[in-house]
Amino acid sequence: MKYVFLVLLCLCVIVAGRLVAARYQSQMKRCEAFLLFLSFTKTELRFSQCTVLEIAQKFRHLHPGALPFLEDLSEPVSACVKRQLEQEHILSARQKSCICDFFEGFGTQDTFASEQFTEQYIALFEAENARIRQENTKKIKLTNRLVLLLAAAVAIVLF
Amino acid sequence: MRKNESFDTILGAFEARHRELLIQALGADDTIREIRIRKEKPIVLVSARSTRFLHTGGQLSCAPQAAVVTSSAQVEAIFAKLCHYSVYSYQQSLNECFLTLQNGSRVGVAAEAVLQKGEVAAVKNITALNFRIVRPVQTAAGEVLEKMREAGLPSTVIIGAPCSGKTTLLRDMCRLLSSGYAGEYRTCCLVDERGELAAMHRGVAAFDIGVNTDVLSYFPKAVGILNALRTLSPAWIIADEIGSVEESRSIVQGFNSGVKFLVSLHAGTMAQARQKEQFRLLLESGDFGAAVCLGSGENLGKVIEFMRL
Repeated sequence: MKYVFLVLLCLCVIVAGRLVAARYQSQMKRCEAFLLFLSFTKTELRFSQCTVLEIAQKFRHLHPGALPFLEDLSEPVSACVKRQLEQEHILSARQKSCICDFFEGFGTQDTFASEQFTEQYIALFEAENARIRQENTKKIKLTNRLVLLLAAAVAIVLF
Repeated sequence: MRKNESFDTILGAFEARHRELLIQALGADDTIREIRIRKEKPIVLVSARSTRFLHTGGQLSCAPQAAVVTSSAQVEAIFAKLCHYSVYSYQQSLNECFLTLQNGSRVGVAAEAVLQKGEVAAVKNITALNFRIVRPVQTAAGEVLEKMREAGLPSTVIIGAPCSGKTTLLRDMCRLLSSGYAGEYRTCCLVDERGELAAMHRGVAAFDIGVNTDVLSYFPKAVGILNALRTLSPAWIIADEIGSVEESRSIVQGFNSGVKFLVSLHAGTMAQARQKEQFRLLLESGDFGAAVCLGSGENLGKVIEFMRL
């Protein structure tokens, strides 16, 4: 019975580890998509000066489904994003709050200031992405160690 | 442009309570041509005859006491909505203290300038907005063109005070010239620096500017005129409010290319126009054949004088 329990424990650790990794990977993917949106915004800002709504619509057209909180768009975009982010489960509360802050602040200034503002958020989300990647690696390593440890324990008990 | 479109675009920016009062006031007096809002000040409505304040029941009064006041937050919210929450998108025109709405209505903006090396780099702290209401008016375009035809359809300058209907007349003349006036569909090019003449939105003009008209929107006039000459081979170039010597020089260059011009100039009378260097330069070129003086106030939109130059 205890052998079965140990094997099950091993499996649970592996599954939990994989789930955590998958969550981090989804977060990473979403943050990368938002970074892409920010770069796109910067380019549009410089060369076409489209409104926030037009930029978001263009991005949604070019990258369908990449950012689910840009699916339903109307003015003011910040309110739409805020509403849709409430239904978002992949991003953390902190990440959601950052995205809301971006849409609240973006568009209230001139081109130069808006560019600087976008750059700040690019830096912020690059750091966030790096942090998630690091956390992900750390968690994977931890899972691997735990699995190894448990496997060793199983081996000791069995033989 | 339908009357409702202008009203809807402007009133859509206001919050519901103010919108209802304004609809009431505008419905009661169809001569109102401006709505002025200022932070923490009463809403002002200007007609050809008077300046009045909007009161809580939707009635207009000459007394500002107990009039409806717009708060700072309300003015800022209206401004943000007019800019589609994208101030940068309107930066160029904001630096010149105006916004052009999708229907071609102009909104004057009072604000503080942010200077860089002596030039306006941006504006901040919006304090007031002045909505100009576009109303369908009967222009004297046909009458002016007829007189121009008698004179051999020469290049013409339209002179008028602010709010005298210069832009509307130019637009209507452009429409007629490019839509078969006297049996000819002339290639016209509108150099629409402020986006008021054609009011282009996503490549489509909000106003009827004729079937054979190209539009260069938001180009500085001097640049736009030269670009039109080089690439669009127009028979007529139409531009509003010639305000600098540089613009006049571009026009003179255009005359050398055989193009005719229809332009407008801010001035109350011909004598005032002659005081302006940019106009003198145009006269010296000898290529303008006629000038039209428009009336204002009770003579709004009427031709006061047609002169052969």
